[in-house]
Amino acid sequence: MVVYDRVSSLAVRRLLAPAGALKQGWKGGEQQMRSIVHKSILQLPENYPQPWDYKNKGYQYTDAPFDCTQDRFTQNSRLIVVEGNVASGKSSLARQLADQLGFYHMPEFKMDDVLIDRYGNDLRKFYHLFPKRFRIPDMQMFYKNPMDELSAAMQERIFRCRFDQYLNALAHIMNTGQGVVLERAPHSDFVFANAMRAKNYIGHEFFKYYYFVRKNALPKLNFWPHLVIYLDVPVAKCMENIRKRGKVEEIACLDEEYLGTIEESYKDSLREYRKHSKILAFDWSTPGDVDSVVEDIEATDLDFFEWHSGDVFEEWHAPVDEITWNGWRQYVTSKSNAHFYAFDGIETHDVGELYINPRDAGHFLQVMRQEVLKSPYAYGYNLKKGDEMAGMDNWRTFHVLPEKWYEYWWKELWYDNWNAMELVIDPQMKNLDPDYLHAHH
Amino acid sequence: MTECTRVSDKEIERRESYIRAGDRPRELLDPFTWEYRWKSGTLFTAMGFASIYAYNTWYRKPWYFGIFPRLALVGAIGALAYGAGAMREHHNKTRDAVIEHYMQLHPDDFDHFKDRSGRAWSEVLLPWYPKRAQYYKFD
Repeated sequence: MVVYDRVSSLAVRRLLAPAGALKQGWKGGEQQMRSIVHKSILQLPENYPQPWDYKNKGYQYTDAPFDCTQDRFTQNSRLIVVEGNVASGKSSLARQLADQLGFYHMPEFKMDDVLIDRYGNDLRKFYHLFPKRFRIPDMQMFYKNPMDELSAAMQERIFRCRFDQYLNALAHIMNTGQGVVLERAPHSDFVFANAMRAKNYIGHEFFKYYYFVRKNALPKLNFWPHLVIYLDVPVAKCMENIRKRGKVEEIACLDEEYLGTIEESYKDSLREYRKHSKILAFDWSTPGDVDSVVEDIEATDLDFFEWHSGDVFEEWHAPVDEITWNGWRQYVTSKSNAHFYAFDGIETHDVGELYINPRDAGHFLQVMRQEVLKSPYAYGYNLKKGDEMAGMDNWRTFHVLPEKWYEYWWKELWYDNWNAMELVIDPQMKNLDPDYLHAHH
Repeated sequence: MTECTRVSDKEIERRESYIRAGDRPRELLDPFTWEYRWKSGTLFTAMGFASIYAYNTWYRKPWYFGIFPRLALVGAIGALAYGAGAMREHHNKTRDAVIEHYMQLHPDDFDHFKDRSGRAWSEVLLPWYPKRAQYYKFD
């Protein structure tokens, strides 16, 4: 039996697992609680609904009357974020943890995730045709030349993609009921901005801009992780791990100051997490056993919330009815509004590293059309490249891809939203100036 | 009435029948001879298709992007424009008929319309006595 002081709340009752699961989960502890359990212990009711196929169907308010959100919530519908310094062993722990708990594992965002499109075009192969501003470095390029002025653009893009990824994690939880193990969150991304600033890889103006955007964007995510697992690894050990990895550029770039700044900044990050999430910190100098981590997670109370004793889990307990949950589910699944609220209308006049010359943008779009896509049409509408004739019944304002859901705005959707004045005088974007780069850069 | 403002009945006949709505014979290829409701309906439908084309060009979409809802929307807009044109015609006809009927009921009120060339300003304006400043004394 479980005693709640808020049993009247529909949300809490929906979150209750069958009694049998509870008895197996806790063997007569002093205070019983509903927390994450190993996947072998989790028992679902017989009428537990199938996961909603949000990647193909999306989730709109027109779907809300036909599909309830709270029905899928179990005690394992939680968000775990694994944090730690570079090469601290996050990935393997996150993978094993997801395997043990039956969670969905989201590996850390990589620039490769957005630099290769659906047709297999690797944008980096066209960088020699792009104006300089559009050669956003990936990690390897960054490690090779961290003083490049586009390091700031890369950092900004990574933050925005982490923002998307975090919403994807929330969408996965709300649409399928399955928990998610995420590696790093936008909330802790500033540790890299700090490190890059310490090494002077990014300028002061961008640094300030980054924090402004961060401050504006994070509240738009609304939900904080239930649990943050921090892997504490000394810098020297991280350096050793990096050397073992054997990536030359990485070894050359990452030094003690960089990693040390990350380590110090993580203390600030954890201090911030502490207001909203539970934290488990492990000394991971020698990678530990995932079973013991699972035990610690099972022993952590991830459910108790009182409005008058702190903000931990508050946003997960604030929605108490189906309509509110459906609203949040729609918000995190579509991501459009979150994007607008978080990033729109922030000026970059004084951030030189982010300046885009309008003519550069025009030339870039012409190269995208002539050389990369070789088509006047945006992603998803090229019949010659094997796209099906889809999108004929799109009617929502921001539904511009043939698919109803996208993973990262910066993967393909940006191309639908970008335009330049070149299009006005040259609607088909056919007048590609082959000498543009030669003349200007 | 000053004679120089008068024109012959023939000239009046010519002016009255020169270009007036509905006077010219209908021609399929000349939209300016169409009825008002067809003109507005066609205009708005064409504007709808032009918008679709502009959007497709600007956002790099093929012709079939969102075509079903768009056709429905353009059809609805065209129908509304047709309806608005028909309402305008109906309204104008009704207004003219009401006025004509009133003029039949009260012919005395409209004597001044009997002369097609209209009235002299002396008949239109009220008597007017100028008061000029130089006739007044100021200390």
